[in-house]
Amino acid sequence: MIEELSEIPVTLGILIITLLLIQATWMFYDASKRGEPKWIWGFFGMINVPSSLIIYLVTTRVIMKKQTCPHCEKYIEMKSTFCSQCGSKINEKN
Amino acid sequence: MNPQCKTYQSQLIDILYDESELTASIQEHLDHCPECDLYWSKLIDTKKQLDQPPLDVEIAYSKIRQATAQGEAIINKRKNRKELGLFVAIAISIFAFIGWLFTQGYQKEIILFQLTSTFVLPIIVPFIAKHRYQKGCDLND
Repeated sequence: MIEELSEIPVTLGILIITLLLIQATWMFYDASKRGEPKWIWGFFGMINVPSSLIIYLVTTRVIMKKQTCPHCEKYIEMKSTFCSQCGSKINEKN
Repeated sequence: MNPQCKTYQSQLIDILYDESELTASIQEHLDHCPECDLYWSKLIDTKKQLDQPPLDVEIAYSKIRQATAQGEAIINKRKNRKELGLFVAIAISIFAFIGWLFTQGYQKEIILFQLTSTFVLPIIVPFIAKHRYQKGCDLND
């Protein structure tokens, strides 16, 4: 099987590289929007497709889920009483 | 304005703040110089306005904070756009190099790396979770 890998067409390589570039760019953009360490996630997104993306989504959406402040619309930690960005009080409903 | 008026006007500011006295010579100059007299009147009016008690207006600090936060958000958005452009440029450079390696006969290594990392990367998830919990979730930059 390893020998067969040497005969992989260039088009497949271009496809993988294109997917990695799109994935890394999206992860960088999304991480910056959510107040995550964007450079780390961006470069992480360049390693593998789709594992990097799955790990990113699991980490940011499940493990450390965040909510948006109703006043300044920045991402803040769940169960926050006050916004760490603008200082507004957060209702429990939000 | 002649130099004498300039001297008198600088003295008038001191007089206004009780740092010197209104002497007879200055009073006489004011009586005869309409320009300095007008200047003196304006100074007195300004001081009266400044001495008035502050208006009884409640300052909405939360609104000020929100406005500041919104301003910062706009600045951050612009900064993020620039950094996104920089990141894309860096990523294209790296992938161009990898693409070049691909054409130079390193297809096998690149694909093997992709296949290996597919199974190895998920192992780091528990470590990321542990690190983030320990850090107190404060990963905002």
